[in-house]
Amino acid sequence: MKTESGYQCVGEYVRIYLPSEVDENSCPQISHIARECMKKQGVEQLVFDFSNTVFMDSAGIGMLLARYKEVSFEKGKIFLTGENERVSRILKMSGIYTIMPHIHI
Amino acid sequence: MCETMQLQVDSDSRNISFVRAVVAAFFSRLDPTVEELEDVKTAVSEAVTNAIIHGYGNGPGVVEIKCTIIGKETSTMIQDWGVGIADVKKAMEPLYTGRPDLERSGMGFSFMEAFMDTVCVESTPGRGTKVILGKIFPDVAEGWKQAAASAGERV
Repeated sequence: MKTESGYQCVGEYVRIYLPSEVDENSCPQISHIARECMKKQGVEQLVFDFSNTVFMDSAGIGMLLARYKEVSFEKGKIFLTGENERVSRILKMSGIYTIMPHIHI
Repeated sequence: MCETMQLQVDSDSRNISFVRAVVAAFFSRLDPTVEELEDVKTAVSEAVTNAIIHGYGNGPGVVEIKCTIIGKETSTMIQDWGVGIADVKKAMEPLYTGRPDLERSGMGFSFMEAFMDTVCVESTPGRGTKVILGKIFPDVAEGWKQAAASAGERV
């Protein structure tokens, strides 16, 4: 079970790999990684990769919304990839897809 | 017949995952679907998170979880002895958060209401909060009937 979050810079976007459980405990580290990326790379596009994620609650939604505010301020965009059915349902319910679309990469 | 389980954990976000796993393990005897179990885990995760973040302001404290099964009815109570909620109705409003300084969505209660059949909140400022989450799991017999029926369709 992959629990650590990591990231990878690919061209003009940064791909952040989310851990298997995105909750109140793991969100601070994810936020930290995302903010560090944006500082270092001057990111315009952030891609959150949910391929390893089997659980997410509203703490994850709060984390995504906070990133959206920061990225939008820099005129950037956020995309989501690799969501399973359950995670997708949570994202749909909270309206996240209206501001952060799913992308297949 | 009534089956119960009680668990007490420190107010520490590392324990939220543990509580989800324990509650899911306890209710698995009802043979729920994966989705039903995920629904309960998510709702419980929200309530325990609230106890830690809001009840104890991320400080020390005890969070108690009590699960009960009576027939197909389940009840999960999450209790803290923290600051309590002055205006429960306001706290339960979608997108409202008592901690706008943190990265919160304000959707905790909305998620609980979406995933559980009933959500009941009892709170006294200065004394603590109790959140009682109710969910009915359909009969095991019903589940098997449906599975057999759809298997018959495939043949």
